[in-house]
Amino acid sequence: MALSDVEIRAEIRAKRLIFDPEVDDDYVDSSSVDLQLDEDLIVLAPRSSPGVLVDPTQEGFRVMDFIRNNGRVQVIPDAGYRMEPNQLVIARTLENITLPKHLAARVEGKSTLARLGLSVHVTAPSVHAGFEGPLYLEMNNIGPFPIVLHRGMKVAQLILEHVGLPALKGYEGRFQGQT
Amino acid sequence: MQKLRGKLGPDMFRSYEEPVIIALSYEEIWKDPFPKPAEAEVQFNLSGEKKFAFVPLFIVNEETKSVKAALLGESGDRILVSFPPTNFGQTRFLSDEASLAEIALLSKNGEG
Repeated sequence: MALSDVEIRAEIRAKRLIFDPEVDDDYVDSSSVDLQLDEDLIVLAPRSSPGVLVDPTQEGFRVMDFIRNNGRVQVIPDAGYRMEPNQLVIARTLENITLPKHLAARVEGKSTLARLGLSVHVTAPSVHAGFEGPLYLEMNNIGPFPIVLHRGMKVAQLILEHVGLPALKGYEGRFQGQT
Repeated sequence: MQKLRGKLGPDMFRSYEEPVIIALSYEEIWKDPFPKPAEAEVQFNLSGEKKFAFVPLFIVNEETKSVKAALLGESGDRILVSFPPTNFGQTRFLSDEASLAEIALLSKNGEG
């Protein structure tokens, strides 16, 4: 069951649910929290020869290398970044999010952007209990028009849910800050 | 021997009452390509067998080439090694205790 705005604010006040930077009060909707787009994008475009297949099960395939070798870093300019139809970019939320081990979440798009054809994830919306960090967004423009992305724009929303029992994998602070 | 909870059969997964934090040496690391990376994939060598996991960078120590890990429990004679959740994927694997001991930089009680 999704947390209501009352429950979300209570978790934030108790510093169990942390957004860094803090989210403005009007970012908390009735059952979600709006998230902003960070300034860096990884624009994916094939550099290898046309016709080469991507086989993620192939031994030695490392997704980080693949993204590095087939993507370029794009800092969103002041005027915004023009995202073309059928383009795929990897982006991140401006907010670092810390979930306690009793809360999981889903990241979803914003309805206005969805109606323009902008999706913010490719079937991977889950944010596990105990997660800490920015959320990665696989943004795809499936509409017919170029869409301008601005840093700091409200690009996604986080829907929070209780987990049945606190997750063993959450660790609650035992890893935090340790190196 | 860690204290296990549950009374399941010997090959069923049984979790420890508390996760045990250790540090493991990694062989290679691939960071995400952002200018300020937040996550990475790391490769471990467990007695010749390569294991991979995605990890948040805040648990990585690049000076010692090690990463914190949590031992969550046992399945038969194998231990479930786990890392904090990430955006990218698999964050756990099974290993035998002897192979883990070979790459452990911290003892299972977290001491150096």
